[in-house]
Amino acid sequence: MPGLSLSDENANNGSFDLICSMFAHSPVFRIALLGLASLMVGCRSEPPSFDMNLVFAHKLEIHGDDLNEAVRDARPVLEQYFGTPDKPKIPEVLESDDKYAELMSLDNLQRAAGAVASDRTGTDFGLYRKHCSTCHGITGDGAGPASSLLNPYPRDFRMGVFKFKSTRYGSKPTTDDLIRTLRNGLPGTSMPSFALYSDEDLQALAEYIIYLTIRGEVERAMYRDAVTELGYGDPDQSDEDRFLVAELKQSDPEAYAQQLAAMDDYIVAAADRWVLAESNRVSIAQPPEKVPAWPLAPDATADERAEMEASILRGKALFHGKVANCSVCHGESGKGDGQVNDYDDWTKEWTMRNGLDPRDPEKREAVRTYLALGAHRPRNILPRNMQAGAFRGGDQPEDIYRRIVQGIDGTPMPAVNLVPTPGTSGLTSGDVWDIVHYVLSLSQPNGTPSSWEM
Amino acid sequence: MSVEVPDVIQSDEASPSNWVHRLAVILVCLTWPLIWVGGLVTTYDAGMAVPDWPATYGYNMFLYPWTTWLLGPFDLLIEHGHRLLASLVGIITIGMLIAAYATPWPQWIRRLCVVALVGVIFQGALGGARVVLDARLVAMIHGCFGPAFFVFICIIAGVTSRWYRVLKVDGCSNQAIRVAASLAVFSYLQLSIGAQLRHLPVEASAGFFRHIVYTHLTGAVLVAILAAISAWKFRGCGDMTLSRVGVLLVGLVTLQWSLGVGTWLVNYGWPWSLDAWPTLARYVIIAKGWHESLIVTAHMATGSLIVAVASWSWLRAARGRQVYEFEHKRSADNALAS
Repeated sequence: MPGLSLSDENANNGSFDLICSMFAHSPVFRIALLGLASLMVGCRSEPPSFDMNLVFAHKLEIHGDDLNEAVRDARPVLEQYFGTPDKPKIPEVLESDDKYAELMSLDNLQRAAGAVASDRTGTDFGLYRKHCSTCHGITGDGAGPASSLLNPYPRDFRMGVFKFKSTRYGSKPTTDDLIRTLRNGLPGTSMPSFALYSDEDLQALAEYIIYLTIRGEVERAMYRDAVTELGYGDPDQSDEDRFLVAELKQSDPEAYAQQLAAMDDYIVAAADRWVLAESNRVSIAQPPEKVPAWPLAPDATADERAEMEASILRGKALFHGKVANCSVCHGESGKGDGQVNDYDDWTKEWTMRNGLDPRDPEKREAVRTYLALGAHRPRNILPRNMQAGAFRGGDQPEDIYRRIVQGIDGTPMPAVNLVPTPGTSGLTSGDVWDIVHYVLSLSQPNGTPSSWEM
Repeated sequence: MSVEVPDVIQSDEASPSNWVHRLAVILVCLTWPLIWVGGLVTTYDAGMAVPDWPATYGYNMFLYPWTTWLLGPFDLLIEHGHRLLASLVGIITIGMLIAAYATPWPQWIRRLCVVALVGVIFQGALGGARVVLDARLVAMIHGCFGPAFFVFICIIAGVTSRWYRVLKVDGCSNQAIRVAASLAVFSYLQLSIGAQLRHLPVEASAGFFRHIVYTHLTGAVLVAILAAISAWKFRGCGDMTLSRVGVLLVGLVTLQWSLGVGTWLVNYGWPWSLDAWPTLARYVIIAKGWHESLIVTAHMATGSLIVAVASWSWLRAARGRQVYEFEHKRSADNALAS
């Protein structure tokens, strides 16, 4: 049989052409190459920088003020005080006072900031970029690359509000609260558990979050003053009426000193709220003596079972009653199907509290402006479905107790009025424990308390 | 239809040693695990666990104390392991080239081996540049080029294999070949889009991420359709192996879809409320958990495997067609001569 041979040029070229045509001459391959090239256009290589809070600045422009210049001025000033995502700094006013030493250390900030790396001892660096920035953003603005596809949206730290904490309503969380959220994660959300990471890593991350929060709060305070105190937007604005003008150091040292003092005031005010967090911890009242602790032990006595069932039934009545009124939002059956058209504070700040109802067709253009500046598309905040049992702030009875007594910052969940004796003006700690037991019973496999087998 | 198949190799000259093929197969068997380890490096963000290159913490890479490597931190284990395994692949690629020149293989096979060596050196240099420059863009190119090298080695293993010389098939239609080509190319493009998600620039915008995710999802649908059409078309090629590979491709794409969904879930959780399923509603993602990392890495590695299998089936279909057309032409020439 005559066949093709090694010396047959046609044969050789035939096979070689086969390979070549597969990888070079195919029009599909050319399309692929074009596609790949276009994908790489989106990549940047400059050192990252913090983004400015354009949404908040724009929200303050309601009286016709133009804060563009304030934003431009604020950027270098904030960098001077707080550094960059690669090289964070602790403002001098905080470094020079020991009371802020426990809030954050430069060593920990430097471990959490910067590019991802590790050394041969296994110490990780760039922790924030490794674990957080894809969702929370390099600035902590909750607008990382993945943020818009997540539900719920990642937290924007810059408002300084945190939901899950052991402190009073309106107070900052403690560092331990942040670490607890990091360690446990938030069930049913994109927030993972970092339980596999060392205490040192979590401490560094928590401190970096505090750093980003203080930076964000200072920026907000600057914009507020830009509208109320300083002359931003005024065509006759002088250098004295700006945040910090280096030239004044020579020409008008007194004005410059005032600007420095104002900056220190912003920073200290923001940091002091964090320092106070420890003293704002909520103490948890013990359950009434006769009510056994949740969950009941398998060998619980008949009396204990009866007490628990009675507590649950009292809790059910309170849940649906006018004082606690939980069912308005959480629904009659606790499925979270009551009030479902409200928003969280991060959204309300630039929508409902700014005269913008996202559902109003006439406001669509204004809403689009905010979206273009970095705001997330408004989504309703849904009350927790008690029957699912996914309690994000912790599923221990103490956690639920704290949620009821102190509410949840940034959400429509209010704090209750805790009163020493039963009445119509508030709830006693015993009432709260009854509600805790009812809420926890809802997620039991056997359903509602009436059918709950103890 | 039965055709006489040209034996490209065994007609006028002695059959060459099959060491090139053996080494190519060994390379295939090593390169896929190498892609796995490289994928783990990316999953664990361990690319900078060894900050210097080509040295390892100042040591010659091959002389780095093995106890420190094996008993040290996990990031160091996988990053240094990735380098050592890559070096082994490079050495075997050199061996394959030597074997190609030491034995009477056709020039074009030798050229392919040269290209493979250039490829593995380039890939090593990319890996080094990723470390020295600490650049995510280079890491992404490195991550895309690895599967391309894997595919190329599979092609070399294919053209040096016995079946390439003695293939006896009815011949695939040109349409089947085009579908196989499209599957290979689009699955590689799909892999490259996925690499964008894994090597996201620090300051990438939410819009860019959304665009990539939606493109990746669209690509997944396209690849699934192409895999199904390929499997269907391969059935008409008269080649049982190709038919089976078609089924394998459908299976791999199905697996890849599952891994893709899993990858999203272990990275970002459920995109909607799952209160109706309490167990799922209580699910907490474990950051860099072992199982989570395996799912993510398996998604990447299976993507490479799909590209390789699709390219191999493209080669086989194209070769079958080439043989068929050769035989057809020769028969016509013989008929004309007689």
